Formats: sequence, structure tokens, C-alpha cells
Amino acid sequence: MSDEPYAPAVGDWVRLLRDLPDQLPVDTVFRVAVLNDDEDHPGKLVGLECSERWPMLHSCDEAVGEMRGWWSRPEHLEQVQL
Amino acid sequence: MAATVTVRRWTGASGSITKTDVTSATSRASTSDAPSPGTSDPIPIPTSGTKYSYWLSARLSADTTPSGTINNLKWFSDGSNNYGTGVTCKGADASTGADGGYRQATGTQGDTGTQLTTGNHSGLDGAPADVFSFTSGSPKSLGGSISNPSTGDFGDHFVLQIEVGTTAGPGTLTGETYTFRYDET
Repeated sequence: MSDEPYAPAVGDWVRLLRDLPDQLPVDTVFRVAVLNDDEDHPGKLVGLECSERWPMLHSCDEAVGEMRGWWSRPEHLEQVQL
Repeated sequence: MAATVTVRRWTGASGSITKTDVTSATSRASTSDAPSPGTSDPIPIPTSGTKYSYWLSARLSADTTPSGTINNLKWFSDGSNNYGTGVTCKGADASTGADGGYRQATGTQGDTGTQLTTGNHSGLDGAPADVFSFTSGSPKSLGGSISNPSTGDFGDHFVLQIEVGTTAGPGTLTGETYTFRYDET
């Protein structure tokens, strides 16, 4: 197993290890939809898209559908193979 | 034995400050200086420009004394802004002048708070920054410490403010987690 930190790429499938939306099942899988520079977009580093709509989700500044988006960080993500 | 340390939200005027324990609690920002506003006085979505919450000031309190010293104070967010489109949060440490840098929040109740700037808040130690730039790996350092046998308020305040722009959507925002961290001997 690699010790290298995960570097997300658009299109990757991931699971959230930390900072999950309230009441969302922990095994929910997201697709990486947006990658930003943290300096220009503080707190909006990795935009994730959920396959389902969920009340606490948003649109990642309209990059994904309404109630499907969530911002995260690489260190809070685990890549999964589907 | 470790000290009992709580996070206190400060509201009210100098001389009659209310210090509410918000440790591990949900504490809402609003357009009032109420310590626990609930869903009253929400921040409106502006038709142009920006609406601001009232300033939210928080400071640590040692309710029991440490065996040695508490120092090396840090403050950080989870690093991800999930308030949604058009909503940001800015903050800074405050320790300048009276009341350990605390200043009562001002504005027009039910409409907007006064923008958090060093010009408007004379207790701030520096210009406010986007709070999501402060993470566990890159936290905001706060001054101050407390040593045995003292108890009570210690360290810098962290003051934050929610900013709502025209592109924000209606409704209650997702809660965000903000953390104080320190060393204790």
C-alpha cells in the first residue's frame, strides 16, 4: 500500500473519511467533479458529486446539479474502485 | 488532572457581557447580538451587495485550573466551505484593548451586521481572512495562556462573521465545525 497522499483527479470515485454531510450514509460514493486551487477558492478544493440528491448537499457553485454537491479536501477522501 | 476547558460565546455590552458555553454545541450566527438566537433574525439574501451576520466572538475558559500551563492555542475549521453558493465566513483573532479584545457586535437587527474589519472592530489583531484557509494542518495561532492556580477566561478571542451574497439560496445553512486546540501540562 502506498504511503503517498491521495491526489484526486476528476472522474475518480471516492468515499468521505471526514466531514460528511449530516445523516448521509458513511458508505456513500461520490465522483470527483471539480478541482480548485485552495488559495483562490478557500474551502473549495475538491468538488464532489453525489449520484443522489440530499438535503444538506448543494451545487458546488453550480458545477454539479442542485443538492448533489459537497466540497472536501484530499486528506478527507479515500479512493474506491467501482 | 486535565483542566476543564470550555468555549464561551461572548455577547452583550462591556460591563454586562454574557458568556455562553458553546463547547461541542451548535451556535448560530444571526443578525442580532442574542447569545442563542435560534432561527430568529436570519441573515437576508441581498438583492445587491452583501449582508453580514453580527460578529460571533468566542474565547476559551478554564473552568478548573490546569496542573501546569495551557498554551500554544490554535483555531481551525474543517477546511471545506459547505455553506453553499454565495456564502462565506471570515474571521480573525482579537486581543487588543479592553475586555481581552472583545467588542459587542453591532448592525441593524434583522437586516445586517457591521462588516468585520479592523476599522470597525478595534479589538482585532489583524485583517479577517476566509476561515476555511485555517485547517488542522495550517491553523490560526492565538496568543495567551493560563497557569496553575488560575481559572477563567484566557487567550485571544476568535471573531467570525458569515457573509451572504446575492447568489445564496434560502434556508438554514449546513453546520460547520470550528475547533480550538491547545497544549496542556
